[in-house]
Amino acid sequence: MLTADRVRVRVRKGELSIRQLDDKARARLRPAVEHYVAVLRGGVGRTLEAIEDALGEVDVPPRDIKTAQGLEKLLMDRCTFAMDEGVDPPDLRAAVFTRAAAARRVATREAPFDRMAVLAEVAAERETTVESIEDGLFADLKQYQKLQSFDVIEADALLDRYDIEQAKAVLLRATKLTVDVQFADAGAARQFFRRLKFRRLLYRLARRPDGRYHIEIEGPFGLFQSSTRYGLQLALMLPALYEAAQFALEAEVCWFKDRDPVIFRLDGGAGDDGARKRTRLPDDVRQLVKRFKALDCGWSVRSARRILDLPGVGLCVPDLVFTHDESGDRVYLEVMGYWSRKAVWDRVDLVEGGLGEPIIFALSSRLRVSEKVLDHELPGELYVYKGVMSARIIAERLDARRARATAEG
Amino acid sequence: MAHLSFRAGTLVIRDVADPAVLPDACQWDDRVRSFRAPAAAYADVVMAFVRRKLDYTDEARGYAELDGGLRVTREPRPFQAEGLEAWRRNRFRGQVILPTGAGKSYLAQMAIDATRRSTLVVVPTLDLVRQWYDLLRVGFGRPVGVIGGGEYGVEDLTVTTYDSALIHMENIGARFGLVVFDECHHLPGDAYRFSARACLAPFRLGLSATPERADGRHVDLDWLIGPQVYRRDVIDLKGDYLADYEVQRLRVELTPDEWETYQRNRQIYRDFVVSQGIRMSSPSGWKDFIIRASQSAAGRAAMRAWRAYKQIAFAAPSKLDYVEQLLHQHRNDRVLIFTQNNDTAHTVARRFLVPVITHQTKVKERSALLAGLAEGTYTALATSKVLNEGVDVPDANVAIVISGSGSVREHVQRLGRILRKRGDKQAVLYELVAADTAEQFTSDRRREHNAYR
Repeated sequence: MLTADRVRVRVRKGELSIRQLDDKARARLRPAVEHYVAVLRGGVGRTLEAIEDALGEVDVPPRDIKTAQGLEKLLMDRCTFAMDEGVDPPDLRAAVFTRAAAARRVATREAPFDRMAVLAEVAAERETTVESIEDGLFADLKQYQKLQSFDVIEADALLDRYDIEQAKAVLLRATKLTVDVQFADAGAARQFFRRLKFRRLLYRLARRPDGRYHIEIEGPFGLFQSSTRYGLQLALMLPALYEAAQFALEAEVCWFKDRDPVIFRLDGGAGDDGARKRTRLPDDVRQLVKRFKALDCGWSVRSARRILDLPGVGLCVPDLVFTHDESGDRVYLEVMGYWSRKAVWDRVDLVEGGLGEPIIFALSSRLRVSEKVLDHELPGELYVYKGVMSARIIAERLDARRARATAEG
Repeated sequence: MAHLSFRAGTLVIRDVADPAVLPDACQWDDRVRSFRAPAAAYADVVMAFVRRKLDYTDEARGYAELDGGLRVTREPRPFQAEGLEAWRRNRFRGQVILPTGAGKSYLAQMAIDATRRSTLVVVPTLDLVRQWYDLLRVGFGRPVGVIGGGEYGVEDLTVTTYDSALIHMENIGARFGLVVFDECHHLPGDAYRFSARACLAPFRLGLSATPERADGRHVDLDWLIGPQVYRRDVIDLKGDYLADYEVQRLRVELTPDEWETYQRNRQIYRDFVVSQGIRMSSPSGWKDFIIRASQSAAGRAAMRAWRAYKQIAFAAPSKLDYVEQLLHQHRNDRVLIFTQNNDTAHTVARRFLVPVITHQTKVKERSALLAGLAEGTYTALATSKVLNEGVDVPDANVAIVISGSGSVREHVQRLGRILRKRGDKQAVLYELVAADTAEQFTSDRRREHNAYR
């Protein structure tokens, strides 16, 4: 990821915009990027220090140095460095330094400490050479680690994505963000909201008459100061937004130290369904699904695709839907974990406000909310768990719901 | 009835009949339709309700009262007892300033014992996490949690780093009634101060030997922790409670070749700075140089020249030759060798075959190296910055400062590493300065402390 100091921006009248790479800049930079890629492609087995030296020798027009450094950073992020197998530098160091300390203790003016003699003794013990002992001594340090692999990207592809990377870097310094977003479908919306939820970014969500969502995102500390501590999380939201059909974003950004925040606007969206489909369920939900399937209890489970919306009251984004094998009855589950009590009260409002779909909200006992706050006769209920969610209890709740529904006719 | 809860490092106050009673830190948050304040305002909010005899329910407080205190106690030194009393008088909030080796950790244990509340100790390094973990586990005889270095365990006594506190405080900030900020001069940094604000603990103790910061932000410690309530300096305790010591500043003449290389490179750097109109004495001087140096071939050459002449001052062969003599002279002592950067520390390690600790050294190896130095397996240890503060090396009695910054704090902390009292230990600190170079001025700057007079 780019750091903020690698981003080229201009600020006018309180508004920050990115200096995008134009065709001329791309043309000037392409040879350098191709050279970088070539160095890394052919650099497997070389040390980080040597690679950095080689990259530093690539000629770049002075006006493009900042951008080139950014591109170099993005390429280095695609590299994996590690030391060679079979070397154990800490063990080697312990052997060398212990022997050296003993030798120094008995050294005299006439027979002073002899560095080479120490190395030669250790080399002989290990049946190797003094050179390999010296090479191995600090082989685990980052600068001496060797390039193991490079996730190749061609120069044009890297230049293409540079502006998005710049935008992400700007959002690192964002203190709050609002976005109007149109998702390709409910599934895309659900994935996006799930990400927000698990990043624990406080958000206000409303549905506009035209079907778009208006979302306000910020951390709770934003109330007291323009805090950039949520910037990384806000920046990580950007790829998810690009997966949406269309979005318009406005962020408050603390770009200059000791100066007022500036506004950054961005719009776009590609509706990249492929990326969305790769999004996995959170670990705790996946584990629950696994345990639930093992029960073989007459209910099946899968990821929920719907967003449950009660106009004028709010909406919620369930994670799973359980379907009864015989009747086809469906019950949704939203996992709230220990996210926020406020979110639980919002769900209570939603159910009491008339949400018709049967749903269970699973929340951690750490939120200290009683299951009794929702009446049993309502279609929604709370499941408060300690530690991890129990598949067995959820199955029992599902059966009890079905029994009630059957009894009521 | 008003209701308090802790949420993500903040205090949420619902159903307040008369908002006028709330302290200024509280603001209306329309998103949650409640008042909200940084969690650090908890004590003030509770006091406001109590003073006016207003009922409230408190779901914010998540800390416990300890069912036992210090298992192993000893008679505190007079200044430790005075420091604790001063802190107690200030309603268990404030900073106690004591020199390295004077027993700040024991004073903190006394503070935990005095308050008997779940306690979070925040320290700057993983070495200190390890050290505090051992101290608390033995001292209180109960499980101690660790957050940091890949571990996440919360207990009524927990140790964490400033970095981990920054990440986790919004989740754990209600779990502790007392928070101890060790080496508290780190706290006023832009990011770290969040930890103090997002922590609900009404009792707060800051410890440092050198609280003053070059940026002047140590004044913020007054509201992040509490005011300075007690202070003693090295010079006050030397001899009685700290090892007696001497400081020797050694001017090392560069060889003609070194001198020529030094001058040539320094001139390249100076010419560039002058040609660009950069004022290195201004606060933005160094930043300006970095920016300009990256914009042209001449700039890059100037940066290379700067590195070259600095490297000569930091680790000239003639300096290292002298280190060889000192290592021989002190071959039966415990020697710490301090350098300005990791490269020099590794150069020293390779040349003299002494172990080295840098920020890259894994915890397990660090522990083994420090234990080896204590046991005498090793007689010397090289380091750049990581042993500057906090880490207990009680047996070390010799420090060789090959190079360093102009920071008074760094220099005092380095001296402090060899001052822990042990028998009739006589400590000595050698400071090697390349003669007639800019390092002379750097050395003068860092010695502006009464410990060096």
